[in-house]
Amino acid sequence: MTRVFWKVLKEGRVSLTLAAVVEILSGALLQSRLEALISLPILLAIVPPLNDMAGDLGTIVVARLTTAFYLGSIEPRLRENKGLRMNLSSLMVVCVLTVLYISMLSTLYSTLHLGVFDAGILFRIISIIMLAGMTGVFFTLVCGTLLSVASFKKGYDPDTMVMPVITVIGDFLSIGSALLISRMFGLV
Amino acid sequence: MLVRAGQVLAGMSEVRKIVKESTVAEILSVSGGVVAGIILSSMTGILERVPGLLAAIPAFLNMRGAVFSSFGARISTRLHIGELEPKYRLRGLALEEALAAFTLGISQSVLIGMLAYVVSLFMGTSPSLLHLLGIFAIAGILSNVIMIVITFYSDVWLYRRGIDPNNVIGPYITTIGDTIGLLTIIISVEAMGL
Repeated sequence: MTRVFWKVLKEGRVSLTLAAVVEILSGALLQSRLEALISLPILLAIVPPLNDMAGDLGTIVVARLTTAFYLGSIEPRLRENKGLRMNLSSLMVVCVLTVLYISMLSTLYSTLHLGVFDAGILFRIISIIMLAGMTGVFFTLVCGTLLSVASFKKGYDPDTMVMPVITVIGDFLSIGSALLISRMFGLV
Repeated sequence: MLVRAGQVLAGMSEVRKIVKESTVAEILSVSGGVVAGIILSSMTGILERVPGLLAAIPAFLNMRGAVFSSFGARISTRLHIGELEPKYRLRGLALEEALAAFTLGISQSVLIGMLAYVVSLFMGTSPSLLHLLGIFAIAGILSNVIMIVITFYSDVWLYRRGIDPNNVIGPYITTIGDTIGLLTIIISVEAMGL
């Protein structure tokens, strides 16, 4: 095996192990709060799509920036960088469109599968999806950008080093914002 | 003035490309999450029969997504910078990347089995270390082989069609990885006769 194989293994091993430990703990945390979440199934149902969205958009920003850094089309610096701003704002637009879609799916799920059509609860659930989704994604994108720039500057490949970590950060931030905002709306 | 206007228009066109390609990928990903949720909800019998399995499933699924999004992004970068030709041939540098992803995937699967055992002990359940290691080793091998093939060929296919794999491959791979990960766990539990 040549340099590429060992470089991927060396860089990937650390971040993946860290990600696995945090994910196991997150799984245990969710399991320990399962009863509270089961009491309002619609709330439980929005956790996976919010997680998916934050992780996905995090991986997109890291993948796009890594390619741009290697090609030299975006400078790996944080200040006065139009390329970074353009990527972040485009992905926030994708986030807004996706939370609208998740809101629509959740309303259908609640009405058709759970047989619940309570306008008050649905309004609060949709507000939670919007606020938690956008907050979680915003901070995930910021973390993805900061870590990609730092990793590239240090000579590590962000595709290998940052990618596994950003999905965990996305999970943590989206679950955290969903629980926090649900609490503010008096649902948990 | 004209140069500035040209730059603004180029920027707008890039924004449109990102929004269009990534939104389609995200909608597919979120919809795929529902499919994975349905598969998971059908696994209640297995989860009852194998203590400790539930604590490890989120980590196993996340790890599939992380290893193969990363593999997909590296292949995409190499296609963009010209180190790989967009051909459907898994050899040379692409094969080396695939073997690295396979090795990482297997070692992490075994690690997750061990971590699930320790966490389950702390949570008061009594799992079998042999069962957890066996399930995640078999599921890891099966899902790695399938994911390497899907990720590599999707990357090349997207690139050849003029779609930037960076905008699409992350959401697409995490969604496919969730479904394949859950199905291979079911297969490995059945294969071990549990």
